[in-house]
Amino acid sequence: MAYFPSEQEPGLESLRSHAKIIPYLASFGVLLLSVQLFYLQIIERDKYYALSTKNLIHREKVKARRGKILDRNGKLIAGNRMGYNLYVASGLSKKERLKAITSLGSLGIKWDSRKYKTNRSNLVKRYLGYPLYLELTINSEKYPYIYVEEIPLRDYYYKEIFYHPVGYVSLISPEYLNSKEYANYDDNDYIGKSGLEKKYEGLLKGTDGLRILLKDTYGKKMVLSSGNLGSESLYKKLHAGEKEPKDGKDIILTLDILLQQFIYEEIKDISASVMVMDVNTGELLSYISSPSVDPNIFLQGIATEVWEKIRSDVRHPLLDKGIENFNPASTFKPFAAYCALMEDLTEERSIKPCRGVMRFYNIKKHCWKKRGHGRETLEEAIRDSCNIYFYQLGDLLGINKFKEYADKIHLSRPSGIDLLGEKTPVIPDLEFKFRNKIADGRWYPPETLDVSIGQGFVSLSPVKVLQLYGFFASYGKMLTPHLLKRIGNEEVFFPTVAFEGGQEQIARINKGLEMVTSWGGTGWRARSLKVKISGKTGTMQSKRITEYFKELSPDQNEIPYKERDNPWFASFAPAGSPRYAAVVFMEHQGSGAYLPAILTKKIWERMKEMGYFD
Amino acid sequence: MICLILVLGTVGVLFIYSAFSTEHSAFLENPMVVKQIIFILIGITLVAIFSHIDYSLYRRMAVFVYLFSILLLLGTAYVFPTVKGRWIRIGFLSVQPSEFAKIAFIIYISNLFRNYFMDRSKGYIINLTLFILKTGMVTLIPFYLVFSQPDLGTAMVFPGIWLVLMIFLGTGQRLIGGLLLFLLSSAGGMFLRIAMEGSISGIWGNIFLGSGLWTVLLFVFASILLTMFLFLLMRFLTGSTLSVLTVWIMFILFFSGIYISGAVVSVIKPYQKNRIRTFIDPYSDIRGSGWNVIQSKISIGSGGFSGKGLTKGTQNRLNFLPERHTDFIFSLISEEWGFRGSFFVLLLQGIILFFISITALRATDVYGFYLSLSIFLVLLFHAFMNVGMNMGILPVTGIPLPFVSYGGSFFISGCILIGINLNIHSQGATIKSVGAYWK
Repeated sequence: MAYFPSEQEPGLESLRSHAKIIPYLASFGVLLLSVQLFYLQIIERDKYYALSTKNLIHREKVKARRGKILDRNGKLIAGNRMGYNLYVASGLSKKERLKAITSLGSLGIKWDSRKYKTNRSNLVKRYLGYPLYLELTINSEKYPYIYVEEIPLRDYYYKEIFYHPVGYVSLISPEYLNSKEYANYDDNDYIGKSGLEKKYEGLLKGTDGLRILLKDTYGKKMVLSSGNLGSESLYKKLHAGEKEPKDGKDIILTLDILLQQFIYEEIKDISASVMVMDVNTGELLSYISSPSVDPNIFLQGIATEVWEKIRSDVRHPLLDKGIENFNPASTFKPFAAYCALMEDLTEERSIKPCRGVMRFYNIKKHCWKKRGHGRETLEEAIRDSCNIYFYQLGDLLGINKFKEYADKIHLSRPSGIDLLGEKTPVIPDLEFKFRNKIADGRWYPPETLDVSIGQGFVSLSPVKVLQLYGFFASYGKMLTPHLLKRIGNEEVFFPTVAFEGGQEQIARINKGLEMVTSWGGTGWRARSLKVKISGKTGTMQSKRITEYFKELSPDQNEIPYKERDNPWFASFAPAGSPRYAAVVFMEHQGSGAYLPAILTKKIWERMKEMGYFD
Repeated sequence: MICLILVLGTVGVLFIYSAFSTEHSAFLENPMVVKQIIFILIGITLVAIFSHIDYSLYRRMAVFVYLFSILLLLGTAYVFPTVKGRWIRIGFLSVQPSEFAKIAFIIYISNLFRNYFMDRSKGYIINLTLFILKTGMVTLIPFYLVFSQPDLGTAMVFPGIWLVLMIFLGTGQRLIGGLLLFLLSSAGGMFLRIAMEGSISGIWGNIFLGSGLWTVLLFVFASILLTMFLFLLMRFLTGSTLSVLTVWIMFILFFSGIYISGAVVSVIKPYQKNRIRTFIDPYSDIRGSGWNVIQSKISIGSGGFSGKGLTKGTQNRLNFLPERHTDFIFSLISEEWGFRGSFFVLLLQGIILFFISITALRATDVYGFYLSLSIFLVLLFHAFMNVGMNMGILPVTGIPLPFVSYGGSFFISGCILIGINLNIHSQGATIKSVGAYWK
């Protein structure tokens, strides 16, 4: 009482006694708010700072350009062009989404807004046409909440011609994206699915960069700059997070577009595999597997009827025949000759002249020439492709010798060509049937006879046959056939194994191969006045030919497609000092002496014209 | 006092400049900055003038002032051309009548309370009921007019003051206590129902959220149980003299409040529901109603201790912070000046409030007591609601921060209130300290 003057109104005291708590309550309130402020600003500062930075940052991937693929003369095989994807912006309210639907509708594009995701941009349509892209970029304010982004796309300029060696790219499938291996890919990325595109994916892909843009509350994007940000230090911090994209490396191939085009035009309707190799380096000037498909169709998703057509084609357009295994047929005979020469068996007294038919282990074996070839030297036997002669050599050698020499000159391992999915050659030995659980697992001597003429259990891919002929052409070098010449400016080397010894024997075989294209040789149709060609025909039997059938000797065109013979022609030129080797393999086209021989002649003459022999 | 207002005003001007620094790089280029400086000068002058006007003068003209302000509000609503429904244009100036209605309201209602207090011994129930109805009307009229502008934040000031003054009526505590309980429980029930909507469904949802027989039975049963329990507890702990009946009535009121809230929930509009839901969980609709709260919290939190520097706040520059020169200026200060700056502002607000509350204790007559208490409540309400809203602990109602936010009418009305308060203070008794009085 003592503090207050006496003239105060009555009853005021009771009010005061109620109100005395107010200053404390006010102080307590301020304290409470301060505690909350402290909590937000000091204790949870980092969390909110991160949120404020997240607010204004828009990370944008800067796509690395996929490396180009060029031919040996620097001509573009596969390059990039721009594609345009249409998006609906992220974080739209329902009303804004409706507006987006209307603006899409005015462009004639339907969009299901139920799939809308708020936290990321929503792809509406890929591969927008250029006119639509122009319309959207020029009149962007007419179409709110939708935008176009440029995405680099692959373009294969030569369509079918390079499908098998180069391969194709397509959008990465969603299941890949979750795996660690593809961590640097996103759902707009294209990935090599076959051929060199797949093999050299790591080189071609490059590393994507990262660009940081500022975005304001309305989602409007701005360039990252200290001016827009208002702070130099934050700018530097954010700028340090940006990354320049590293473009993929360009790769230069050993292929020659002109030669490739020429050969492809010749055989595009036939199921075939054709390769031309430089026998000094192993570079493949041409690599064709036909028929082929246009790799561009995989980019935008393939139409069902097109896909059905490709799938049901008996010629298997998607199969790369260059690395598939087939019976090498008579093209294997020079290898049998090589083994026999190395074992010095060719001059054996026991080798009998060919009488058209001969009995081995109580089985009658025939030569392709009914009248027989008579007594022949090794060279003549190669020229005439005499089965009886090689049956006898095979019988003398035994199956394990084939395997031994194949191992020695690396014929029994894959060629090492830089394509994925090459089949391992099959050269049988005594345990072969046992290992592979074929029939009763025992090797019977008559089966050796089949192997010695390239039938039966032996099987090689065309690229392997090419390598074998490269071996003869280079007098004992096992080259690695390859397609990659340079990465950027960096020369690439593939291993070549040179074998000492056996050069004289190879010279004898080469003599025989040279005689093949002479008048009266089995490959006379490949004879050319412009280029001296050494070669060997081959005819792989699709169906086991019965005696009766042989008697009929019907025209190949009269039997069903699937049962026709598969012809080979392996060659190298020029005959004296070979520089290039070539192999032609066709499926179901009759004898090797016909179409392949003719095509081989055309190829060599064409190459001569192109100046390869200068 | 004038110094405190000046300091807060200056801080406000600085951040009004900062809020638009991306558009106006020079300080005085910004017309809002210039305007606010002029308002501060006018405000300071008004503080000086009003501190020399005897506050007992207002008691005599209270009715007229109140009626005038109501007319002005009616005019705003129906007659005058307005900006956004809140401001009326007078020449080149726009005035916010609701700010002056606040002053008129406290002048009038303080007088009503004073008159009742003086005659409190006459009658009890009937008088009190009549008084509550009368003051309730006086409160509801400006509340409704301002609310329909729409300006929920300012409108909330009227019932807020009314309710708190009720506590200081000096009589009828039980009745008022019951009334408050009823209001609080219905408000709380409303919040709960909206929060639980969608998260509970099926039979339990029907029982908890519905308004059928089962719900009534549930509430009655629960209230009986709770009453018994609490009655025994209070008896045991405090030896309270409250009868079982009183406690029971209190709880019946409490649960009927919750029950009524169901009806309220079914009446209010979806966007209002959304606001409440957003307050309960801002992340329920990040891009919608919750956006402001989230961004404001991010702004405050990201400021840290020392802040990002004046005009350098990223939330500010890239427009993430809404209404950053008015309602969310506290977040802006927090972002750019950090804890140092925001705590400083909060402290100044606290000092002003503390000073006014002391004045209430010093007042030598009942009118002075009620008047300064109302002034305290107005400023307290604004400061706490605003800061609380900025920090996301109170719902977003759109209420500015006294002496800092941009707005001429608001600044000037604040200054007038301070001026009146200073006058009460100067006529009041001297006390050495509140602490001394407490003993």
